[in-house]
Amino acid sequence: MKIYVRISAFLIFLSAISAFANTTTAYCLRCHGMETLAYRDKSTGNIVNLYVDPQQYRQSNHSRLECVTCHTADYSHYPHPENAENLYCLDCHKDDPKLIPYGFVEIEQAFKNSIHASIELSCFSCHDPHQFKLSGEDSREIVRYDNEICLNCHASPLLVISHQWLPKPLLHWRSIRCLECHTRVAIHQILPAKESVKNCVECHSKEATLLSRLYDLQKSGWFNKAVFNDPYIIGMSRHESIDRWSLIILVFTIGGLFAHGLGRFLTRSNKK
Amino acid sequence: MINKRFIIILFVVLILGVFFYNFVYPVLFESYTGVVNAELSYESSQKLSETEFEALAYELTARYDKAAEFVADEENDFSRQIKMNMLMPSFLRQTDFKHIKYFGDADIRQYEGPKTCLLCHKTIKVHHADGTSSTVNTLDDVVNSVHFKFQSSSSGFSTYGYDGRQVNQGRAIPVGKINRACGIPGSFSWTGWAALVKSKPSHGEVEIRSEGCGQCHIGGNYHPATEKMMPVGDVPFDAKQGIDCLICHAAKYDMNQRHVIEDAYGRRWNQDRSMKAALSVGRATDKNCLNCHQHNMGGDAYQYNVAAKSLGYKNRRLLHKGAKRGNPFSAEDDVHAAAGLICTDCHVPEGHKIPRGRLGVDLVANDLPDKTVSCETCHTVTPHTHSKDQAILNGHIARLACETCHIRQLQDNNVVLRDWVHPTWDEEEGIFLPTDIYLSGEVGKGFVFLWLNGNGTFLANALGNNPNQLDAYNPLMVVIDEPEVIAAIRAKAIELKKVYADIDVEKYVEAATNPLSQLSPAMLEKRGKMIQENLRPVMNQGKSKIYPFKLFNAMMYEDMGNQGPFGAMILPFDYPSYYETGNAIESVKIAIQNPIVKRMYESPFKFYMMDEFMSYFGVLEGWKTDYPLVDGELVNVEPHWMRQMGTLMVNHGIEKTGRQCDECHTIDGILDFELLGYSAERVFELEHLPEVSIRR
Amino acid sequence: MKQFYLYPLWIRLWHWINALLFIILIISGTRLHFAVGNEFLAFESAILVHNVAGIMLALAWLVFFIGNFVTENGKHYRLRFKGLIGRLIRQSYYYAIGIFRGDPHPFQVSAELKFNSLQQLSYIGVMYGLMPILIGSGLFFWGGNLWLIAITHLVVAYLLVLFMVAHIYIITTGETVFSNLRAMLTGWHKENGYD
Repeated sequence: MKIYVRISAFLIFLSAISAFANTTTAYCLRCHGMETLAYRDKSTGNIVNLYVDPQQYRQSNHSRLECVTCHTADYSHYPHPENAENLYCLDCHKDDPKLIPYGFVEIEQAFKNSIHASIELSCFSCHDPHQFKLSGEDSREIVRYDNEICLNCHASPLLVISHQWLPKPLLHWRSIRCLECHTRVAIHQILPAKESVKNCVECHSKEATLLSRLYDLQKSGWFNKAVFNDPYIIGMSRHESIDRWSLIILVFTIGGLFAHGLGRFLTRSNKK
Repeated sequence: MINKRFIIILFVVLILGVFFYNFVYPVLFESYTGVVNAELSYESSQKLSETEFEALAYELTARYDKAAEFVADEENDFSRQIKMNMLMPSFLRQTDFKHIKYFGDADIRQYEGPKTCLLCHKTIKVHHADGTSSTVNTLDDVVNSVHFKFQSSSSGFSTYGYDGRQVNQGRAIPVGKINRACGIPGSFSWTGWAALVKSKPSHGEVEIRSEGCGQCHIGGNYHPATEKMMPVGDVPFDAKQGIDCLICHAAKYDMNQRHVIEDAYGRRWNQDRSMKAALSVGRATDKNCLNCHQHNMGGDAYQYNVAAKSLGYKNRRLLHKGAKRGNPFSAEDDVHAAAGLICTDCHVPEGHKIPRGRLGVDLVANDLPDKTVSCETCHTVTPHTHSKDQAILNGHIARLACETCHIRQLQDNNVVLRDWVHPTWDEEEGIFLPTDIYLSGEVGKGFVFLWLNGNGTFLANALGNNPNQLDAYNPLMVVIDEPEVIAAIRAKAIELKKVYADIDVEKYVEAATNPLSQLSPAMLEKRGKMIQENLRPVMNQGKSKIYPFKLFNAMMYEDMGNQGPFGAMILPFDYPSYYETGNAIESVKIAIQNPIVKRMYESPFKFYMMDEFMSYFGVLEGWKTDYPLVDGELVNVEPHWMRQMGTLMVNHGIEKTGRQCDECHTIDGILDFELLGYSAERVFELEHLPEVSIRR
Repeated sequence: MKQFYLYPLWIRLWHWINALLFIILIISGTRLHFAVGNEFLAFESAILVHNVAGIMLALAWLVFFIGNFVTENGKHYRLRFKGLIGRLIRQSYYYAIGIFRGDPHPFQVSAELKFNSLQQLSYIGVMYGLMPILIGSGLFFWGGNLWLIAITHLVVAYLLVLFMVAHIYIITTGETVFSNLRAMLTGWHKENGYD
């Protein structure tokens, strides 16, 4: 009985094996899909996680790529050679005309000037290419996703203290990205703490830089704005027509009352 | 006037109530349950003279041993003594046993049990896992610990009844070792507390031997803490004074004092209350824990079981030959013990409450059910740090428990099948013993691998499921199908047939290897349905990992009036008659005449706990109170194997070097991937990893 | 000349505090909303001023609300539905035409009722309608659907500014231009001449 099960399993396996060469993602995920695939780096003592969440990978922008596209063919055997080569973002994202709008060259330039570049971080320190996914349009989701990246390293009780000067710090953290204040020129050029924005009116004003960053993604239309875009930035978020019509009504009222008063003045002799 | 009268009446009622609770209730309780309480005394509790005390203190000074070692080469006795004196400036200043000074200063020259300890330790400070601490009454803390009560009426059991309910999650009943009959000891704590057995070795004198559950329990009473099973009432003062503090706290505890003694009131276990033991008190070390726990880990017959080398100055304790778990904790066989770790390093106590760990498949009470005891606490999530396969080894942790690779075998005398119904004469000990039909510490024979999410059934079956969550995996339908094992069992059955002519060898082998064959088709169907409806959801809870489990089953006499698809109520054996005569039926008759067993077959017990107990057991119709002994004959009692193999978790006896890839990733490897619920395709894949074949 | 004590001290105090808070809130609110005049009032200070004044306004409103229960002042806010439409028309007709012809005021102020129906209706709307919305949206200016709250707060604020402008003008339509103002300062309502 058992032998038949084995033979049939073998046949299924043979039919599958053609599509299951040692260069497919599925092949790699046999090990890298293990949640606890990790080791402790000998020089730093830190845990290096080698797990790739298959679910998240399938949903990422890179899901169509096989692992060996970036990790080179050296990785197709176990154990992997120690000096095997990996691809870096710009190796793909530099020349491909389709990807030019994403501005990877500019991003790299900005990153080189970033405070993060000076402590030897790389793109992958913040963006896991195995989960990388373009953000959607929901500003709340963008804020949550982006701030999580920062907090992966920066979460500490000190953070609360250094941001105490903000009125309602939690509301700020929920509504805007760390990047809004900690970058100025380009979104990947993180500034040293001293140079970060610490002036309310840089955001809370009509010319706010925020408008050109996070909230230019906002949906238009009165209803959409009210329903879908939760963040409301005092001094920046303004509904043009409400302001315009309110002021017109106010002016007309004052004018009307003035005319009424004038009428009363002119007819004052009628008063008995 | 009326007010005054009212107050007087209230006062009188109160006084009467207190009087009733403290004096009348205990008497009623004792007469109902048939348990005995009396003042306890121990011969080893002797008052020392000043000279004796000082000599003892000198001997116990930790430097003494070192100094003695240092001067061992000195041939002349006198100069050795002189040098000893030079090396021993003053025992009062230079000692590890702090109580030598404390007792000396406080003029304590006799150890009288808890009374003496409580002179100073009336309360203790308990440090909790969350960093807080509290001060508790020491005696209450001990009395309410599982080590004294052997049961718990609180929730926190990881055990689920076959009815799908988590034990004590609803109405709580006392459950634990106190009332849990089990096929390994063959008895339970009331019927087998402290027994004296006349052994007749073939070459030697008739000798009285000690036997019983009480040998490992800290209460020194004539019975276990029966009073604690009731929602009201307390253990009597005398019984509390019988608590053996020193077996856990004295470095110099003499296990030779641990034997049964008989006095005017009955039988009980003796203990070491000598000043030598008392002066050596301190925090419990692994040696203290192993005084009792090596018995169920390495086993009594284990070569390095220290306690089993001191069987008693008289009425020597009987050794149990088949090992309960067969995974010892000793420097010789466990890497942690070898590294000098002690039990409480991992099982970090809070006062006298000791955590067992969150995972547990058997019905054992746990004082700290929410406290984690795990490898990860020390070894982190990346325990493998130097092999070139470290990452892939760490990767396995998501599915495999550490024990799965790091326990390669159990002790050879690990008992898998024990037949209590057909005893065998033991020449050497001069008694009849249950026949161990199959013993093995080998993988696939003595222990197997199953999924576990931390839950277990009422009869100790590991619950969990393959992450694919399919119904293909079913640990409750496991049978023994290894031809080698079946052959060994058949050989043993043939041997038994020489003594018990009525044994049908083939039927015997069938029942022992496939206990489900004892069920009628209707029962089998009911069983399958209950597993699917009640246990499947529990199996699919949380995250399962593969753990090793020691297999066990026993053939015992069962009360068939109380049977269900998972088994029937097993009946206890009376040790002396069983061991002395080998007449299993007669010994059952004697055991069930114990007053508590009789009470078990009466309505108050039925409604208090047995109905609930049976529901967990998978018998929803409730407990039948038909007492199985009528006119001296057993009625509706049959010998059977339990309807499934018990699976007991093994966590000790850890080896430094784990298993290699190709021990599992090969055809017919030690892991039966098919049985573990993997699809045929996946099984093939797991058995044919190209990486493993290259390495080979 | 007829004279009676119409405005008890607590009403007058409350009224002027309210007026002062309104002015402060309009200035700081305008500064925050339009983000202009950082030199005059820094953003951080404007937040503080607006928050403190806002909370005080809420407390003042609470005083008014409770005061109307425990004192007799509440009776002025009780609508009399019978003949309401007629009275409203008469009052509107007076403001639109009668006032220019020198017609007598259609409503006689008394200690029992100090508001004409038009006033009564608008005061009820403001004090029991707009004010709670304004205060509520101000207090919750940090959670929920912030956009909706912000827009509500803004629109109600505009409406209240309109009310204030109209209110300031209407008080000049008393017997003399300043007689109502004086009454709110002294508490005494004075009337002479026509009866």
